Amino acid sequence: LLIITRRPGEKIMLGDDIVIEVIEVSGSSVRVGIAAPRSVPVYREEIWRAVKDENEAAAAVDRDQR
Amino acid sequence: VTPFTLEVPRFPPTDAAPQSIIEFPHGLIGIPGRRYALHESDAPFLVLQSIDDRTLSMPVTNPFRFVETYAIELSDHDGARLCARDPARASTYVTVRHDPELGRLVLNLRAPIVIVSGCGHQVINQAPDASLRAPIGA
Repeated sequence: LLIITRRPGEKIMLGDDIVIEVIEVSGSSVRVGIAAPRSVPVYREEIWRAVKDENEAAAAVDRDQR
Repeated sequence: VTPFTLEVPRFPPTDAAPQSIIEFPHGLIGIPGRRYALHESDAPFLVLQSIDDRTLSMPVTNPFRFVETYAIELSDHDGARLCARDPARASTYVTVRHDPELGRLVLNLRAPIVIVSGCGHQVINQAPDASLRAPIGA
């Protein structure tokens, strides 16, 4: 896990194409801007996890019925 | 729609008609595999069968058959990601499963699977009332 400190307006590069920018820090919230190629899916982690769990549950139904 | 019985057919990949092979450039969310076959099953259900892993399949259905008011709102990023130049040609499916806690079939209206010209993406529906587990069949 890489942990780095950034201030509002500063950016992080993921490879050459993906830019993460800290837009605003307000209390316990951080607003982040993400510029990524359209081919790269971008998800909020909790939504990604909930959908992953739901997909696995849907797949498990018919595995159980074999 | 109770009791829930869904016999899921297991076709070998070679049985899949070429037009039913769907390429998912990014797979399904959190699920491995990029190539799936879409098979007819007990209507109104279909089966999305992984070609890479024959033990992996998911029942899907057309959400509009069950939720007349269903609407999909995509982020600009997701909208651009779809191979959809012509939304009218898109087919939309959602996963369906039996939820033991609810004792009902549930649809994942939050993450529809949009297929255009053999290219599929599972996207996040930004509509605020799109449920991850929408029960059907009262």
